[in-house]
Amino acid sequence: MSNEKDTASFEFQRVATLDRRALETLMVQGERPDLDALPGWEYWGMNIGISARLLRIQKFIKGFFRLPGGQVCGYNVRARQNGPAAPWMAMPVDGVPRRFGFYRVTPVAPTARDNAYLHALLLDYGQGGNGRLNPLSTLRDYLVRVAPGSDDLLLGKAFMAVGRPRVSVGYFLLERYRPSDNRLSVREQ
Amino acid sequence: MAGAEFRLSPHARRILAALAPIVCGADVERLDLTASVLDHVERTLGSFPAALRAAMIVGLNVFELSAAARPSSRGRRFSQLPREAARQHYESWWVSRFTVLRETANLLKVPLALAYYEQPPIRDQLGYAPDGWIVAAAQRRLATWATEIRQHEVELLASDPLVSPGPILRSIAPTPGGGGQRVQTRDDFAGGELACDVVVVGSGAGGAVVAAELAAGGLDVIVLEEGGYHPTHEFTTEASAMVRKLYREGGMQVAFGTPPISFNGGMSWRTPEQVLRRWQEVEAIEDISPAAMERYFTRVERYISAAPQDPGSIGRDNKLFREGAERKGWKVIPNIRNQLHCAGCNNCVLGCPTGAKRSTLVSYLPRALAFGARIHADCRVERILLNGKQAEGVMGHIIGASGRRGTGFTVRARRVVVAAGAMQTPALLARSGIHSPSGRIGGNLALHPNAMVVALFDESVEGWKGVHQGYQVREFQDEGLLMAAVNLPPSILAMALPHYGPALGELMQDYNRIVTAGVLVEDTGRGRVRALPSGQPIASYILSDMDADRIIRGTALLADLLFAAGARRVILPFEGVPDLLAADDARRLYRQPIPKRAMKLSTVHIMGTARMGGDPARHVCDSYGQVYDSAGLVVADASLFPSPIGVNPMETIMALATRNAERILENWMPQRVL
Repeated sequence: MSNEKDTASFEFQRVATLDRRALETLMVQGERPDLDALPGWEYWGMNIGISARLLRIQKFIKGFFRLPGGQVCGYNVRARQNGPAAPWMAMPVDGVPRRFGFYRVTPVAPTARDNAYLHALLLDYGQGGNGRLNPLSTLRDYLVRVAPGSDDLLLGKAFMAVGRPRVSVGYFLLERYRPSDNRLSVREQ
Repeated sequence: MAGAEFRLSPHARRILAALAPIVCGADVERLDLTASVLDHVERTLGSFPAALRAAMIVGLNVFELSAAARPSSRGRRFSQLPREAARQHYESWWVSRFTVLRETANLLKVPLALAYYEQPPIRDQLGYAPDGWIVAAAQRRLATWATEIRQHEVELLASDPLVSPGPILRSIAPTPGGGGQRVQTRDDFAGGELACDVVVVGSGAGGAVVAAELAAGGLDVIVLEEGGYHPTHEFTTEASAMVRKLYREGGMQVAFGTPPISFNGGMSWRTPEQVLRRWQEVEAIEDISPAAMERYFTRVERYISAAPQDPGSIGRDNKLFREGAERKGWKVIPNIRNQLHCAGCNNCVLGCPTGAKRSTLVSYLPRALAFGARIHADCRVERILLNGKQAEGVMGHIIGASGRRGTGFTVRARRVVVAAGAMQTPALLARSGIHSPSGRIGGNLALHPNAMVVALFDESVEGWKGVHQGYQVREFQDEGLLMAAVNLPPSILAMALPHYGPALGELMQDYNRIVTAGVLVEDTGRGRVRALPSGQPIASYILSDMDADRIIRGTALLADLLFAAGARRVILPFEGVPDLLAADDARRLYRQPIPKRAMKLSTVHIMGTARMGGDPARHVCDSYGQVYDSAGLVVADASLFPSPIGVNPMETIMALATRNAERILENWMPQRVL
């Protein structure tokens, strides 16, 4: 497991430079992350390629937690857009993050509408309690392992639900970097 | 498969009646066989693919009309010409420098030669009398081996599940004699909706094995077979009738077709160890080492009775073949075949009339029935039913007696196993809308191209008295070459020989002095199977330069062997290359260019179009046949092969199918899961 650290690993940086075809191959080949290994950890993340340019959001943080009933969920935290080589810093203040963009994490079900990668985990923002009018509720992310057997580095592919169709938004990377504070505010729960 | 109702027009009959004496020789009229031959041609054409049949009719009409353009014809059509003028017109097409004319002339010959050399008086002329020989051989077999045969039948139906029954898999005892269960045909099944645990598409080497193992393991299994049900007593020596019954589209897809449940020469060879190692290392297939596969091969060999032939079943043609190899100092081994005291009837590829050849018809399918599986023949599966990416069954229609589309059916199941062969499996996946992340469904087609030579001897051979392929030459296996002697019925041989008329007749008079032998090449070339808009598969394949060179080498070696055995003449499968009359002639094959288009090749091994492996980016199925990016969908036939294997594939198919069935049983859960 990773200890808290400041900057992305070499492997993270290498994968971040892969072209779309190579990233798609990694998505296809990747193993499903261990659902039980995610709660209690935060991952720094980076959008790769055109989506970063379109969204003007390159760096972010994702965290995972488990609800009392056992369901695994997650959240997003904005990060300072200080360039890929600089440390990840949560906003507004690192250490007192504002969590938003919640999602439910499940294995992909073959009969579900969102079943693009059966071997992945699905981050379903539509099940995150974000509110139907919140654009974030249209997001569906798939996560796979980059390296077999390790949940330290994950590759994701984001889609947007536009009615029934799903539009690919782009790829992103997650690297585990610190334990999360599982205590959610009442407002966040 | 039975053909649709097709009738030759009076116009076409007139042309064919004029062509028959030219292609078949004068005896067709002298013995008053013309009408019988034409009726036979009509049945044969009726079983051909519609496109091919249409092309032949067009060719026939063009041939007829084109005669009028010859100055000597004075405007008369072919069927109006005097005999010699008609012969000259046909000859002009036969030797034309235009490929389309030569091919058309040959195509017109095929059904006529096939029909003529099946006429009883002509079979008598050739000294070909297999029926009495088979009856006597079958009686001898039963008299000598009755106890062993009964014992094998008992063992075949013994309870021996792959996976021990437990709280999820029910324990099931076989019902002797299948408990009245038998294969259901179109006369028994009215269509509609059925339900089961696992539906298996195809009843060949893969499908029958999966069905039997899953049924014996306690699952409720339905098998759907597109071909008809033809029990042992229906098998005869009438080659064309058997081909129509047992081969898809009248055998004209034999190069690319799906073998039905009884089509098989019966060679039972384990996957070569170097192939298994390569599959493990390069294709990342789990647990497929020779040691890991041992128990699957052993199990399969027990159920199909894989064993060397009894000495009395080896015919003179195979003995000559062996002698030739031994004189050359080449490694030649007895073929291991799935047979139980084979009587040496040489009818293997047309259906074993004694039941000695342990095809799935008499091995795994009875086992499946005994353990409660339901088997439906005459059922064509059109589509796999999908709920998202979860396979939930199949739908299709019954095939009527005339080949027409009958009532529809749906089979709901928790698992779908596709074992329709390397042509039909990718087509079914494609028309069901299944996409592979690798993009390789239908790709990677490998064929084991075959080239056949015909050798004439001075001594009596009577190759039809003895088993098909009693030996294999393995001397050149490292080069990807295998050789064997393969006797053909007269009608099939006549179709293949590069002659017609009196020249063909002269050759055929030596039928009982002929040894036919073939060389198989482990190919490096690859092709692709695509689904047409109709859903039917079409294959394309490129013969690589290396494989073409090896075909020439293999043919030269085979000719050398046959001369060493005493042959006086060897007819080659290369258009425009003269027959060989001495061993030294064989060596000149290396010095003359033989273009690929001049090679007459065939195949009966079709592989690789849903290749298995550990990488979803490169393979269609995982190590146990589960189709990537799908749930509840497994492939269990030769489509799985990541590469050709260089030996007969039946036992590999069966072992992989056993392994895949074991995986299904091990992972069987009460609720549907991934």
